[in-house]
Amino acid sequence: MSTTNDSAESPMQEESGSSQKQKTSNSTENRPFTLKKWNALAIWAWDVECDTCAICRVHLMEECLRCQSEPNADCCVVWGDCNHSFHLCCMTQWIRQNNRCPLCQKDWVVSRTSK
Amino acid sequence: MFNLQNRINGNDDDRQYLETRIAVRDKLLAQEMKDLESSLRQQKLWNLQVPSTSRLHELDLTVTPQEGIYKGGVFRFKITVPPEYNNMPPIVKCLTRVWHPNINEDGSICLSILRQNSLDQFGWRPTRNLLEVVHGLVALFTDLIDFDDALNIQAAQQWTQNRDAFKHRAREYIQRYC
Repeated sequence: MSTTNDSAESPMQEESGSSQKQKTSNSTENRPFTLKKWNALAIWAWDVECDTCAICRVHLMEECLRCQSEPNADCCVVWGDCNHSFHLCCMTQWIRQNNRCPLCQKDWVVSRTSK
Repeated sequence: MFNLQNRINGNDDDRQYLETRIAVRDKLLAQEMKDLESSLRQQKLWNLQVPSTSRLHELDLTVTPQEGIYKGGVFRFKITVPPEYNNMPPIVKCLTRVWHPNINEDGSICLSILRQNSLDQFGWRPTRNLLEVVHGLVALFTDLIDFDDALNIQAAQQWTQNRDAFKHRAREYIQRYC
């Protein structure tokens, strides 16, 4: 058994070895393309805990969903005493109904705005 | 403010306001559809259909409880999303007659997150979404059944007096109306 196995395996090993050699020599000799130039691209974002407005679900650094369809230069960000932030437009509309932070349910007190 | 001269000139502030609200609502709904679709595929307790793709604010929900008192029932709901969404909650009606303490026989539903003006944390908030509403309605047939805060007072009374009679009647309704 062992002798027949050995004799069957050895030619196969030789075959795979020779094909590998062929591959490597091919790829070094004629590459399909060469890299001539490359441009680096970097993306930045504010390092803040909550970066989307929980009301309109748009990024705080962009205009709110409402102002996107009805351009408004005054679209800015508002922070409450609870440290949650929203678009001022979105929050103004919500507090007419319920004067509390939709995220933590604390009474809404404006701490600052981005303008 | 109402201004007749503006109206004569063809500027209708109310209509403009409504059009923007509808545009915002439809954008919010379009975003939510992906989430709803993927959640829909992962379970078999509920099914959601949008009869017309141009009217994403009208949805048909079917709840099929797999355990508890309402097992075997097929309960249909109509969900209508108002133009003021997501400052206002969706309006939900139950189309299937059911013997349930929190759904009356007209199809009105008592579910905390559907309440627009709520002073506690359980009411509607703009941070909520349709998937939460669907989960709430599904749970209304199992974990969220509330006999202490009843809308169908007769049903709740029957439960406190005779639980077997309540269960029997609930099953009878399922056989007759589902």
